[in-house]
Amino acid sequence: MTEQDGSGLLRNPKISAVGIQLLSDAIRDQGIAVADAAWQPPRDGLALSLSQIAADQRRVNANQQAVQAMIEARPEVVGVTTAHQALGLERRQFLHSGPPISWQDASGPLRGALVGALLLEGEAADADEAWQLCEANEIELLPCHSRGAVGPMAGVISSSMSLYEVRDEVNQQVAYSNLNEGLGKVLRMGAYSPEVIDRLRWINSRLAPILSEAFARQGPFDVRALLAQSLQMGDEGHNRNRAGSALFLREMSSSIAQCDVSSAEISQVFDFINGNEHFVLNMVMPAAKASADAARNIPGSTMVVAMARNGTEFGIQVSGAGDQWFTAPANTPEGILFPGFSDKDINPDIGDSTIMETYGIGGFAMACAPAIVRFVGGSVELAHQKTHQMYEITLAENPHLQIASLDFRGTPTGIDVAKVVSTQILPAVNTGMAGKEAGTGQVGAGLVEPPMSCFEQALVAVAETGDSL
Amino acid sequence: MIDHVELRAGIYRDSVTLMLLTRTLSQDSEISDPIVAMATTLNMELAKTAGYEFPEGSGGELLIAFRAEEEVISRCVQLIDDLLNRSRQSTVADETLNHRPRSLGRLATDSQSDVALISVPGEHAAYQAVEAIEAGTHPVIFSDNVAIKNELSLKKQARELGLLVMGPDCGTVILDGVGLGFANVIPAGPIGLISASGTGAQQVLALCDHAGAGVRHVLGLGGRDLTDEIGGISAQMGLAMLDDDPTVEVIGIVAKEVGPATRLLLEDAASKLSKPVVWVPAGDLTNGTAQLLELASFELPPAPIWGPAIERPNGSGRLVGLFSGGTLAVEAQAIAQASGCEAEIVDLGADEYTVGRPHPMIDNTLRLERLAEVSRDETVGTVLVDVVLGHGASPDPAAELKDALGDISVPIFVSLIGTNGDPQNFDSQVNQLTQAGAEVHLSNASATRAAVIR
Repeated sequence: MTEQDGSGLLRNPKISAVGIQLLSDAIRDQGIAVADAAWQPPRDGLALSLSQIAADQRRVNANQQAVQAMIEARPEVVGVTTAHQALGLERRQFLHSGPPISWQDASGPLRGALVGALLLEGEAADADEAWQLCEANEIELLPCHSRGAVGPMAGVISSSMSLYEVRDEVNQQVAYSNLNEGLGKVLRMGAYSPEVIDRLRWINSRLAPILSEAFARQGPFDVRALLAQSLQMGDEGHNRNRAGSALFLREMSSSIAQCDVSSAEISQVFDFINGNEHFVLNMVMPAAKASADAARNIPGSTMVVAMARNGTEFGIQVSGAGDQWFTAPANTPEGILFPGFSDKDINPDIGDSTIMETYGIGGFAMACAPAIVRFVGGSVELAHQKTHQMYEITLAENPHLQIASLDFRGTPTGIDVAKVVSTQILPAVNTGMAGKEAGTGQVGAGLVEPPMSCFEQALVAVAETGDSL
Repeated sequence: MIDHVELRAGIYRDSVTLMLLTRTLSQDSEISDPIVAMATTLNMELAKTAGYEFPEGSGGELLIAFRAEEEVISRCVQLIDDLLNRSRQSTVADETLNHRPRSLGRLATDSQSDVALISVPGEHAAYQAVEAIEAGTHPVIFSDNVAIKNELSLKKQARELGLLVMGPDCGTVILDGVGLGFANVIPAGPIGLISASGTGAQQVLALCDHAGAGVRHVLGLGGRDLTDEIGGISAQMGLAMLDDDPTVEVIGIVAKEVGPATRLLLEDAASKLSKPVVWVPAGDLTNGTAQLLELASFELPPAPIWGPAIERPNGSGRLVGLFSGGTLAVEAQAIAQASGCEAEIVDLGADEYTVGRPHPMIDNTLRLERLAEVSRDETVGTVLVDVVLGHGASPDPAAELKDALGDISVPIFVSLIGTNGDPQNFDSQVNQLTQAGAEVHLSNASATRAAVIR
């Protein structure tokens, strides 16, 4: 620190402190400033794992390698494919958000989405039949993350669904997500009424081919560059994608307009994108996933590579602990409800969209999107506070994604489970809220806290992979 | 009287703050059996033993329990709130940073610190020190109970980055005249110390101050640095740093246990320095300091003695020494043993006595209990006590001790370890102690010898 400001160990030392207040006060009594950490101890029994991790010779380099891989990724949408084609999904195989789960444990919105997906695939004639197939275990459930995909909210992806294909040439990664359906009564929120299924069919048969042709004309679409701009236009990339969606349409409009379909259809596509401020979410999510996947499986790394919820449990994966999920019961979000709904209608936290926080934006970039705090009735100061806190639990600042209001500081990137446990600061997550009952759809949006237990378990697991001291 | 019990979430205070707060409450005549503590398993059991019933907590809350008449409960809660809030002073971080960091690493980076003082419970100290080191900051680890393997790995890691680990169990540090931990006030001067002992260093400081010699730096090492397991990693770095500092002319090594290999290593390192080096051994701090002063061209005048206001008859019976300073106890033990006197020397700052209570240099409660026992014990012939002054220590220890000392009928000797600049006011401490009937020495060796002769 030292030389430039003329301080050092033996000359006007600048002092920080953690622990006994009386000792800091004794220094202040000498007229010397002391900066005190607002530390509080983690749960009993975790000090040993924290000490092992701190002493692990692999940690610094492993975490550096992990976070740099994620930061330097340059994900691009290269086209539109289908789940059958890209992932080999069969008609009764379904991907879902979050860690693994069975139908029996699934919450309302996930169940509703599975019913809708069975209807979409023509595997059931009506909702009752679809429900029976599920009850009879006639379907196979797999986490999106296990197949290189991510899905918002229920995250159900079925074989005929169109998917964005996102590639990162820097780290040679690929990831997928389906196309965003819009707001309100939508499959991802657990709705499966005929209008929902009709919209999904329109996406598959009309929207996807047009976008596919447009991407082919446009060339790879740089998602990181889009995020860099949208973060400076009031988005945080998870719960607010208004600017990003507008930028997408602006950049793609010419390529879309040149597609060989009627002007009425072109206009319908423009209207659909225009009417959905989360349209670009399903592109930024696989972009974050492709980036984070490059950081997987680095021995000794305590960096989180996935956070995801299935509506029942919150789960995380950590670079140094392979594909193991560390799970705990999901909390219920708090926020603003659409008219006609109350707190008792809110389903516990659900969706793979926390891949955005994993990537260092969303709740971590709240300072970019002060408008978001209105979801929880907070102040603009709260948005800044959240982002400041996130710097304490992350490994790096992303120079490619900057926060204008913090003097262009990079977004806090690369969640370190050791820092989460030792500071007791949980990742800030912004999220949509699904209705508890299958078939309800979206009921609002807000903020949610991940359970601390996931991070504690992951810490212990990585600590156990090290040479015991 | 009714029980008032609450568990407050989202608030944390360190144990010393809470124990001192609890002590303040117990002095309030309307409050009985107060407990204000973090709701750890241990503290919850204590509260249960005291007869309190409370709801299930998660373990992270603040436990508040006391008994009082119903009409004063709200006043008591208000008092507790005021005390809790008073203990959090505003900090530089509050003023200059948007957010007050929880983690030492972030704080040290954001505030561009050179030094980080770590006094968290021992099991948490090692990873806090790693945070400091990775932020490029020299850690001072006041905490004890840090595993020696952790100490070794910390010191090796820090050495590669040119950072000095002071501690663990480092009680006293002075950096460019600024005291960290328990430190006496002394003018800057030509002497620099590296020290494996906190109270050992404080004795040296007290004597240097008496001789008019200034001390600019005391680099604490921790009690195990000079063992062969650690091999004097911090001592070697500290010697080199003091040698490089143009303001230092003479270097002292205050040593407790020294491993044979480490001694050779340090003697070799010292012989290559441009400045003279003197060993000040824990068993004979006063003579060691005299040699150190001589090299710095000062002379240690006879260490002063202030006689008791009331002479007491010579006792017959054993010597009981009740110490707050570990090294001072070791020195007294060595002198008593050499004289063949029957002596019971107790270090009340040792781990076994400090579980759940502050160190006796901060709070004399335990020592007062022991002194009361001694006053009733006819087998005790002489009493020896240390009183350590300086920053961090109790604001008026003589006032705390004088009544208990006055109740003792046998001769009392006090090692008063302090300087003229100390915040407690040295002369007032001397007056109160001699009024209470004690013979007061500036040198612990001199006090012990006097006690042994009686």
